[in-house]
Amino acid sequence: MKFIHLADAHLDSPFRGLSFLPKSEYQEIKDAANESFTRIIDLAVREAVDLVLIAGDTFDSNKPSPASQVFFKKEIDRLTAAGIQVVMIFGNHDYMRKSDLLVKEGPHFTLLGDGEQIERKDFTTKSGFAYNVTGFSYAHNHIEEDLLMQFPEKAPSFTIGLMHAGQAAGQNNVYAPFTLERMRELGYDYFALGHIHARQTLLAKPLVVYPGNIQGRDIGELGAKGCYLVEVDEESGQSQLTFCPTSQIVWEQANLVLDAPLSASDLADKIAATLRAHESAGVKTFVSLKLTGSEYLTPDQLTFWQDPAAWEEASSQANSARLVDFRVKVRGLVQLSSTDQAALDRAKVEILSEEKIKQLAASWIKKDPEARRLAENPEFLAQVKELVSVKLADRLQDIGGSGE
Amino acid sequence: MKLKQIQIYNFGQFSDEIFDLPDGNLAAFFGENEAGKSTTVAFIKQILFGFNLKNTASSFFEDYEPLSKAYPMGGKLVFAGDGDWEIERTYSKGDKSKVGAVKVWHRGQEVPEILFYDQIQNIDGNFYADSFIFNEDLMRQLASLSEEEILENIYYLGAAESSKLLSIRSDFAKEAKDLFKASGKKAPVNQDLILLNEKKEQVAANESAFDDYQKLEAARLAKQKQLADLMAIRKGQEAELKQCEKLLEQAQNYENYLRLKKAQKDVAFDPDLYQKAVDLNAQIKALKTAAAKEVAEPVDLTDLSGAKAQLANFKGRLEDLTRTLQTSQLQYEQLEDKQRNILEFSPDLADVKDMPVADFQQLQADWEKVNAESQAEAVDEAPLSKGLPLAGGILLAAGLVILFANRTLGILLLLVGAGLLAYAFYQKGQAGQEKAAANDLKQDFAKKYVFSSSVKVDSLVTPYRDYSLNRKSMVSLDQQIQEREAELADLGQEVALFAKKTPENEPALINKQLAGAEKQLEDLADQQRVYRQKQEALSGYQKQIADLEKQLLTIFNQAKVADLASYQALAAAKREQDTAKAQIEALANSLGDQLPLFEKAGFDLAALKGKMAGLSQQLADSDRDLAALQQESANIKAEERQYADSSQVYEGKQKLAQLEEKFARDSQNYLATLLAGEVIGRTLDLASNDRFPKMLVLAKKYFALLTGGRYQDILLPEKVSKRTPMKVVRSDKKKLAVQYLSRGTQEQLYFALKLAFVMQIRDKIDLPILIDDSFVNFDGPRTTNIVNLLNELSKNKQILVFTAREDLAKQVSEVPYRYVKEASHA
Repeated sequence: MKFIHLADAHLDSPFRGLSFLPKSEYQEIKDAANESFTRIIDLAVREAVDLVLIAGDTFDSNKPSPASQVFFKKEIDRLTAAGIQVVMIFGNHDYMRKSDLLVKEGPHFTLLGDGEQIERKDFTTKSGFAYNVTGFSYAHNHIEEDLLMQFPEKAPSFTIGLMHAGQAAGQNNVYAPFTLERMRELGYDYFALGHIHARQTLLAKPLVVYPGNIQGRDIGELGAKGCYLVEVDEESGQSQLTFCPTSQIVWEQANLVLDAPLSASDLADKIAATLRAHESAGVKTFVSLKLTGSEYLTPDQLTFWQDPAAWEEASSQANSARLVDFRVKVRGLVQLSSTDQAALDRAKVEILSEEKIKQLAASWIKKDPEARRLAENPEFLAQVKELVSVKLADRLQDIGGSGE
Repeated sequence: MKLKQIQIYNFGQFSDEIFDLPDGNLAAFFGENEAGKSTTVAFIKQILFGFNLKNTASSFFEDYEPLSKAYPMGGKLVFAGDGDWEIERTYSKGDKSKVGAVKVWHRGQEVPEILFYDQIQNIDGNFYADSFIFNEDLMRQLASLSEEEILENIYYLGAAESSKLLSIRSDFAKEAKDLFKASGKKAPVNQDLILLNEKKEQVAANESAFDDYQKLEAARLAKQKQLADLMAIRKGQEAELKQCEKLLEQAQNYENYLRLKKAQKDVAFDPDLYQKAVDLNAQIKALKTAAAKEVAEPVDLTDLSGAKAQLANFKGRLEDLTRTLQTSQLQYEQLEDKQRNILEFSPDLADVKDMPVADFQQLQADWEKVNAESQAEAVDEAPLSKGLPLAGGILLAAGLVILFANRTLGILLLLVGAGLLAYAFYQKGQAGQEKAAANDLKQDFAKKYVFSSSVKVDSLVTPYRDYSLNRKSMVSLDQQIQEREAELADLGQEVALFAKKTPENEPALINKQLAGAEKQLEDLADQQRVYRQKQEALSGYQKQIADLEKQLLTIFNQAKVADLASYQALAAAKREQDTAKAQIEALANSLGDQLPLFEKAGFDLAALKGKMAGLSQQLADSDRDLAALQQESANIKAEERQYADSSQVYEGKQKLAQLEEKFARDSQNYLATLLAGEVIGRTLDLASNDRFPKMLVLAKKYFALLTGGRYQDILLPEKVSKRTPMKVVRSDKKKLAVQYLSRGTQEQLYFALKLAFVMQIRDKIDLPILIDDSFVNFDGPRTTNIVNLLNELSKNKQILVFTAREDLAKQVSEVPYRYVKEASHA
């Protein structure tokens, strides 16, 4: 038996961090998620798989655009026309009801576990291999309960668990938190998961797999994206996983460390070389460059490299890589007198505590829920802190750096 | 560290200058303005922290290149205590480093400079200038500050570089304020939020697109169902109508069947006989047509022989007349020619040609008389008398000959000939007599005749005679011609009458009329002949027709009909009956089993037609409803397609994502700016607070000293703010917030605090304090106060006082260093 496991297509979802792109290029990336999805369907047809598992968040919202629904239906129709079984669940983004889908239930298309009901369905491949899929679909954006506890025991046939969920590690996991323990207990043959956008295998026995999303949408979603092609040895029930990249755009993080000042042209060359080092054939690479050692940049260089026009220039020195983000990090602060430096260090610790930040930023936080949301985002806060260091280093340069 | 000696190699106005400082901690440098006090202060600072030969804003970075242009620039500071430090800094023209080359000796041993700077905590020139040097610059700096700022400066004295940190902090605060405001719309972050929320609403509105789409889809499916139902109904209606139509057709067939059957009857008719009648009739018709062609116009049938004889007569007469007339005219013309010839040969004849014969004879006689007298011998026998008998004979003979051809002319010639013979004889007798009297008569002659007697009249006799005779013939001929012409005119009259034309008298014209008349006659004769032929043919046809009609009548009698029309009607009736019979058979076949049913039960045609009309109406209604439904369905589909093709939702989300991103970025910038300012502020707090308590003890003391005991204490709250300000305690125990102090007192407080700070860090940074008296512009009593303070300070710290006031210099030091003229040469 052969099947494809994909998740988190997030059709309709926007790209982030690319607002500076020219309109023509923007049009190109706009369809990237659809394109990746189509490639997966192509793959399924080409490989003549028995089954395609879609583990939630196919759409970016519970009110997907008609365009996306129509697109999705068209692609699913290709599978069902080829006699390929499709089993799909809804995730926390596309929490809908079966009736909301434009694709209608049919002999080859199943929306599993409508209305957060755990459902098991039995199937047989064309060659007569029996398997079943057990899972549930979101009907709300949160599921606080560990629904895995209610999953039935493994059936005699090849048993697949299909879930859109996160491991119950954090305290505030409201996405059907589950434990690996329970998974071991259930002893299914394969857990096809969705929700986490980074591709990973949580357990080898039973296989607990996140295929990741099908197209990275911002610098948080690095590397090649696609789906898993799984081949099941019908004798032993062992599964062989092959990752198939399908995204036409890949995000990469590049690092550049400065330990001495560079001339403008040397710096530009270095950045272009870093971009080229992150290229790979056949895909467009969006690179976020992190430059450590901002204190070696002149204020002009710092300003210059914040400007997307400079990124364009650097990108033109590369083939398929494009610089889309530029961040700087201070390596070490400039020399203040040791006493003042000590005061500065202490002040930073005090001021840049989460509590203090929230207190100081109260009027900003109060201003809008969006601000409140950002204030809760550790990544955002980390970036703010980094930027504080950069700003301080920039201004204090005059004080410590002059003289000798 | 105590400064023991200042060695100036070359610096500003100084060259090779050495200042040895006294043993105590207090040293005074006395000199007028421009004597070199500020240069000395700058020298100390620059030897410690570097030259700056570039022009910059700070006075301590003033360019002190030697005025003597002597190099190396620089010098040496020699410190005692804590192990004898010497620091030398030099700069020569062309040196790469503008800060100068530094050499450091420790206990006479050259050591890395870093060791020296470690001793003073690696502070820089700014820190030193800021904390250890009290001069005009500091004064100026203070004067430009607002009270609030002075207070802040006082407060943050604890931190080195406090003024710069303060300005950085306030820059951050200001920038943060420009980026975001708790209320307001214009700041970038506020702007972002406005746009963001607008877009959010729009995106939320877009989200309903799928609901709308689903509604459309449901509506479309419902319409499809309706369509299918209606189609089924319509199909039923159509089938029923078709059945009715079939029944109707059968009913109509049956009706026809009945009608035809009713009209059925026998007709006696022999088709062969009828055919014969038809043929005969056709023959008769053909003959009649042929006969009609033979009927001719009536023609004049009068006998034409009389007219023909008359015509021949006319022609004969015309021929005769023409011939005679031509002959006469020819003769007449010939005579005219003769006359002309006579006159030509005898021109004198013209005078006498018209004379009557008697007159001429008289003339002849007269002339002969004249002539005979005068020319008797000369005159011969007149030729005329010899010629005349001969002419007469000839004429007689000619007359006899011509008599047979032309009677008239012949007779005439005979007569003339006879006359001439007679005359010739007469003349012969006369001639002699006359000759005598000729001469006498000559004159008479001339009188009597117009011409001279020399004219030979005798030669004129013959011509005269010929001429006269000819004229006579011509008269006669002319008469004949006129007679013939009259006859011709008569003939013309007759012919005209005959030919019914206008009379003509020209023979040719008459002849033409005659020819016309002859042609007419011939034509008429032709017409008469044709007419007679046609008449003959016609009577042949009529006879045939009569025969055939007789036969036809026999047939009519046989068939018992009056005429052909009746017979044809009979034939038509026969054919009709035959056709009806065939139709009846066909209808019976078509009706089949239905026929006995109809015959048994009959049918209601009106009811059937009514039913059909109803069905047709229903069908039309269904068609109309179907069209409407199809249109609606198409409309929905089009609307759906619009939704399906729209990227509005995606674009809205993308735009929203971009706005969120921008808001996050701007917010990050705002927060980082805000927090950076706060960090600086907190740094100042920390740096100050750390030192303040100890500093405050000293500051209190210095402040009391400076104010001559008017102020006893300085009170520092946990955190300085408007509500909890820094306060001072007056000698009367009254606590005053710093802002209520006079500016002078505030400056004294600042001075006290700053000195306290320097004293506080004395253990870490042991460098001399440099005080320029331009800063210490205290009045008399205050001078004492400050001297007291300096004394107090100098217990623990070296202080160099640079002053232009001798009293102050003396109070400070027993032996103040005096700048001498030589030193201030330049």
